[in-house]
Amino acid sequence: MTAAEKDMAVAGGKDLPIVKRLLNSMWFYWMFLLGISLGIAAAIYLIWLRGTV
Amino acid sequence: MFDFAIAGVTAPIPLLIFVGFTVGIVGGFIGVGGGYMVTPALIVFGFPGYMASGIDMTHIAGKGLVSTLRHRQLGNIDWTLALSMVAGTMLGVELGVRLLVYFKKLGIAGIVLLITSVVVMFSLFLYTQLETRRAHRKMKDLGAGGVDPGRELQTSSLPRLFQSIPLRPIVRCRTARVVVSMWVIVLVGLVTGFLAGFLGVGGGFIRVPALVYLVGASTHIAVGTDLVEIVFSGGYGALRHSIEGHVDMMAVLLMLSGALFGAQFGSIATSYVRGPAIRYILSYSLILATLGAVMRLIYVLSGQKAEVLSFLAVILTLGEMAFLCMFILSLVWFARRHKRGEWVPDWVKPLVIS
Repeated sequence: MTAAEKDMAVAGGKDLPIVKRLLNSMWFYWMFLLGISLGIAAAIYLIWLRGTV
Repeated sequence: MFDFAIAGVTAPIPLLIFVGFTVGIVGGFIGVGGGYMVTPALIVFGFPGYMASGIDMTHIAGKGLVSTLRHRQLGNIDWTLALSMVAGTMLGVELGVRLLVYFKKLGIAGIVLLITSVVVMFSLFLYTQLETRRAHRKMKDLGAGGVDPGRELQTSSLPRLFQSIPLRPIVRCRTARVVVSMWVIVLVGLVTGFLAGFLGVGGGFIRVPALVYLVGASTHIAVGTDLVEIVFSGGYGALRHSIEGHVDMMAVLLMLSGALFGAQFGSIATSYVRGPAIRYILSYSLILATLGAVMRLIYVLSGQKAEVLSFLAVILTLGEMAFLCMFILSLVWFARRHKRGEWVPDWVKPLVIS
């Protein structure tokens, strides 16, 4: 397989394993979800410290 | 928890360092002070509003200086552009503050401020997002055709329009590779300074798009040049707030201990990516800040009764910082992988320097 064909396979995403396919299309959402989860963790940490947000 | 005697509050040290670090990364990367993220975060930690502004401004001055020094090493500062803009910015800030005082006298400052910030930030988000998507597609096409698109590509026609204004003196900005009327630069400084003064922010998130889309500077140069403005405005703001006694130096130092590392990392991270990547992060930070402002608007309009909003505000304020920071870190990680010839997601390739 040439480099260009490899690129096309990546672009089509057909031959990629599931993890790479998810990275290919949904990286933004994963990062957003992780960010918001950290926000929730911080809010819980604040509640634990002060009893309120 | 640490007892901040001057501010009269107890706040968690790890979260202050976390805020400093993350906003340092984001600020160094997109060329903003990050006041629209730091001030709400400090209020969430229990600092009174005026203290939050003072601490934020003082920490921005220190962090801005570090980011500026790094960007200077990277060759991202156009001094002609920066110094020409300072005069316009200062005048604009003064006019903006006067208009704010006028609205305060009318008793409608709070609501006008929130509505203006929502409209300004959302419009900037929309334009930046649409233009950057176009640029991203074009870079992808160029890459597919075997052409190296270089470090910058933007598709807006506005810079050509502004650069063709024949008002003397015409300035040659050598680093930015822009030849433009000085009045355009001063006007950009005036308008962005006016909005910044009126909204009570540093104005980086308005100035960076203005430098890219109106003056025609590349995104990297816009980021570095804007940080010079931030050092001036942040330094002046820090002095004013310190005189008024609105600064708790312990909180500033704790935030700076994180920000100094974050700012350096954020500045260096720009050398791994192409212009559109920076503009993407800028537009995401704008839409998240807009969401925060909408929530505050609902809170004000509901007669300050919607308690659940304060919980959501904590999640959004701290979550957006974590998200932007991780997105930047992941871009650098992907850029390094791409350089080594390892697999990266398809959308990353046009955004990173190979």
